Order: sequence, then structure tokens, then C-alpha cells
Amino acid sequence: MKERMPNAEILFLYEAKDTNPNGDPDAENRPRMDYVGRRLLVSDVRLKRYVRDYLLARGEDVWVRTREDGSRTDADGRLEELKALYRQETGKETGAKKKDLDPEFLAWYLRRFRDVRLFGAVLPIKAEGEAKGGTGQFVGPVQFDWGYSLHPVEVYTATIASQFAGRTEGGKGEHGTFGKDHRVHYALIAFWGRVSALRAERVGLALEDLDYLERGLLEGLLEGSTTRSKVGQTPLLYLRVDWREGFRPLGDPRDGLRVRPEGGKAPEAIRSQADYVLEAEGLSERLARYREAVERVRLWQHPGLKVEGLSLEGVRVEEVGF
Amino acid sequence: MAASWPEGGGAFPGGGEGGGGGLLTVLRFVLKGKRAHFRRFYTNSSALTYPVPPPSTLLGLLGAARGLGPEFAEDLSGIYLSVRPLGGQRPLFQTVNYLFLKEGTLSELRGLYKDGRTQIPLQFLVGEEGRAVAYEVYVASHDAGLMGDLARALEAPAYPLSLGPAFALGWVEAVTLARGEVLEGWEGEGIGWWRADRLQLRNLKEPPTGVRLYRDRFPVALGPDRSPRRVEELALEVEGKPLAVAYEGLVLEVEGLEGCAVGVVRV
Repeated sequence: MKERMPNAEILFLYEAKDTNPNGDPDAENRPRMDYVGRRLLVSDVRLKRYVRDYLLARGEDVWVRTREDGSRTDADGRLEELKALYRQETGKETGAKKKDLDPEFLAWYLRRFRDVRLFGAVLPIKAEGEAKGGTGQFVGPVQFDWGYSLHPVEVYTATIASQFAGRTEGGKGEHGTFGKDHRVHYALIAFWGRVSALRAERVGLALEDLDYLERGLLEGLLEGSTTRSKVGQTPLLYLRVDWREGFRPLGDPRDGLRVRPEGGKAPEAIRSQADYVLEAEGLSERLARYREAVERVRLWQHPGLKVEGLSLEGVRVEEVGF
Repeated sequence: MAASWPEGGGAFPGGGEGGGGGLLTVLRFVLKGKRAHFRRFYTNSSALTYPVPPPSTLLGLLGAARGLGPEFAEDLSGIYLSVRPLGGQRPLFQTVNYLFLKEGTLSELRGLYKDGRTQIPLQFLVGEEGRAVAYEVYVASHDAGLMGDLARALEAPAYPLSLGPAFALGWVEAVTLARGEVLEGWEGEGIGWWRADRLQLRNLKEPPTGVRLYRDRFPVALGPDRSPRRVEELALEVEGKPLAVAYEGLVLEVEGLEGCAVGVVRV
């Protein structure tokens, strides 16, 4: 039987050690924090960026990107390139017609950009004649709520000295400055996401795209954690619950998880996986409540993560190869 | 497990024919999520949130549950809506890097325009102490079948539910159906939405302590481009506490909520 696109819930956990998982542009790039709740925050956009960069690294083009290769200097050139490519592949011209986008171009566009099929996009519609311009929108079938740490964390700051080459003026070419480097010691970060089968139908999301999403989260996080500010991030748990039909009110799966520090440590004193156990009884109870509505669970767990009480009895479990 | 709700087209079990004689079917549910953002439609350089989902957001939520497209507004027109916060909630500000859009050109959308990005403070609502943010929602209609369909859809929604933006994932609990009646005018305790120009608080000489009113312009209906087509000035108690009111607008009397009316908006 041909597999169909499921409605699904995704639980994705990763650790961040001595790093800055998501800088806040309005707070000197300090890690995003909910200072009242003492939880580290990571935006959905940051998580999706790991997947997009993973696709870029494999030679795919993505819609939302900030880096251009040497041959592309601005967006107009990029647009011309896309139009030329479309002409070359289809022999047709493209462009907006009044307030609607050219449906054939849209179909081509969706085939080209896996990140749009996954996460959606907003498209510009240029004004034509007296018609006003506007935007077209694809709502992404895959949505992630903002991630947060499952325990209180503290931000620490170091002063760094930077030296860099500048323009030489009379041979004085050395430039240096002092800066602040903000990090967290350790955070177990949890994301909750959903896949919508109906939205997938509208943008042509395929099951293969979900494989790329899985690999983009697991491998992409590791690949993306190689810069100075992002180093030290490792995926720890990936769990996808595929519903047989519509969504069920499982709630936020993160509410079924609890971090229990070991060795008498305070939660904010956790520094590695060795310092805590992840209790998952609550999640197991939630899943058991809707067991009959679950088609299957896809699961990957880091061997170093200590999990207690995660029971998937009565549910078909597929191990994610990673 | 999903409860058994009346099939489309019928009356509420035990109710009158098609809810005749002013009797309505009232759908009550609790909407939850980890964060909410219901953007005040008139804000631009910052993204502030209403304390509750506006009528237009609730309409969209019900349409999403049923798997409806843009036709949801027409399909659901004429229903009565109300909402109040449940439990404590607090604001949480985060600044996000938005793309600067003036013309909607590709260069703007790719962040390569000279003023390509703009940093916008975004106000979320989150629950106290890590709990979910929660809202009690009332939906009422003479069409009992429609209410049954909505009850079923909320328990197994076609599109994922959210509390504002698509990323603010949400879910629904405690879905129940009851009977109710719409009245014009009410004196006594009440919860929900109040049209600001028709509301008077009773006992103003000794206002109850701890009560805080929020008053604002809320979008009730949106046009095809999602711009507000109908806006009403509504008031509500920010923590969902009952108010002692003298009100000249529409309220819902709900079976099981004796002595406390629900201020509603008809969409």
C-alpha cells in the first residue's frame, strides 16, 4: 500500500554546551532568554535555518537564504537567474498576472524549493498596470513552536579581544577591539513541531521531503554547529508521532518531560548529560491515551541520554537510522 | 477519546426543532498553547498582542479545525463568539529579525534590499510558571448540527490549530455542548466580551478589587486580503474574572452557568 503523508507531531531535543544557541539581535546577541521563567529560548526560524543550510550544503537551492555565492551580487540578479532558468526549462515567460501569480511558474517554483515545500514562503506580486502589487503566501506544512530549555539556565559573559585587518593608512593597518561573548553553560532544548497533511497537499510536500527534514534536524544541527558561537550542540532525541487521520489533542509533548538532576545538583548547575535523567512518564501516558489513533512512531535517541519511563507499548515504532 | 456529537443538520439532543424558540446550541472548549500572539491590527513598528484571540482569529481557528479555506467566514457567519483568559498569563518580549517590505519586491523578500531587515519587538503571551496559556471559548448557533460538526472537528482538527501565528501551536481540551439563549441586555455577573459603548460597571462607588478591564478595537471580520472589514471596540476582564455589569448588548445564558451571562459578539 502506498504510504500517505501523515498529520504528525515532532519532538526534537538537543543539548547546547558552552554556546549561544540563538542570539537576540536586540540584546547584544545574548542568548534568547525568558528571564522570568529562567528558560533559554530558540526561535523556530533558527531551527529551520539548520535544515536550510543542510539543503544548501547538498547542492540544493533554498528560498530563504542570506548567503549568496560569488557570482550573485544582488537579488535582482538572482531573480533574473530564476526567470532565465524557468525559460530554459519550460520555454515560457513568467510573471505576475494582475493580482495572481502565474500558476505554472508557481508549480515550477514549488518543485525547485524543498524548503518552501517544508516551511512555506511569502512571494511578491509586482504591480501591473493599475493593479496593486501584493504577496502570495504558502503556509508551511511543517511548523515548529519556539524551543526552550527544559530546565533553568544561566547566561555568562566573557570579554573577548578581536584583531582584524582593516584599510591601511600610512602603514597602520592593524585594528582591534574588545567585545562581549555571551553563552549558556548547558541547556537541554526541546522543540515541538507539527506536520499538516492538508497543507502538504497544497504545496506538494512528499514523504521524501520529510526524510530530508529528519536528516536536516539531526545531521544539519551537527553541521551547523561548527562556528564559534554555535559549537557544542548535539541532537539527543527525535520522536515523530504519525496520526492515522486528524490530529489528536495530545498537547505539547514537552509537558510530558521532566529533567531530574542527579548527584544533588541544582537544575541550573547541569553541565552535561551525566548530570541528569530525562523523565518521560508523562509523555508515555499522553501517547497511551491516543494509542489507537497513532499510525506509527519514528524514534532516534542519543546513546548517552538517560531516559526513564518512555514506553511506546502497543505502537509501531520505526528506528530512525542516524 | 472523541465524544459523540450530534450529526450535521439536527437539533441538540433534547432541544427544540432546529433550536427554535430562541434556543441555541453552545459549544464550549478550552484553547491551549505554550505561547500566543494575537497581533493588534493597528500596530506596525512593534507587534503587540491582544490578551485574548479576537473574533476574527477564533473564526479562523474554527475554520481550520473543519479544514475550510477562505470560505470559512461565510460558512460560519451568524454564530456568536466569546472568550476569556483562564489562569495566569504574562507577556514575553522577543525581538525578531523581520524582512523589510515596502513594495514586496524580491530583493526585499530576500533581505538584500539596502534597508533589508528590520528588528521588531514581538510580544508573546505565555503561561505562568511554564504552564500553558489557556482560553475558555464559547461558540453558539441555532444550527445544532454545525455546533456538533465543530465539536468533532476541534477534537480531531483537519489543519493544525494555533494561537495566532502558525508556529504558535495549540490544542483544544474539554469540548462540551450545552443549551443556551441569546438575550439583549443583562444586569448581573458576566464574563467574556462587552461592547464598550454599551457597558456600565455596577457598584462603581466600590469597584471590586483586583479587577482590570482591557478595552481595545478588535477585528471581527477580515476581508479577502486579511485587512479588517469590521472592527468593534470591546472590553474584557484581563484575567477572565466575572464582572458585575449593566449591559445593553448581546449576552448568552448558558445551561450550567446560572446567574452568570456570557457577553458575545455576533460575527
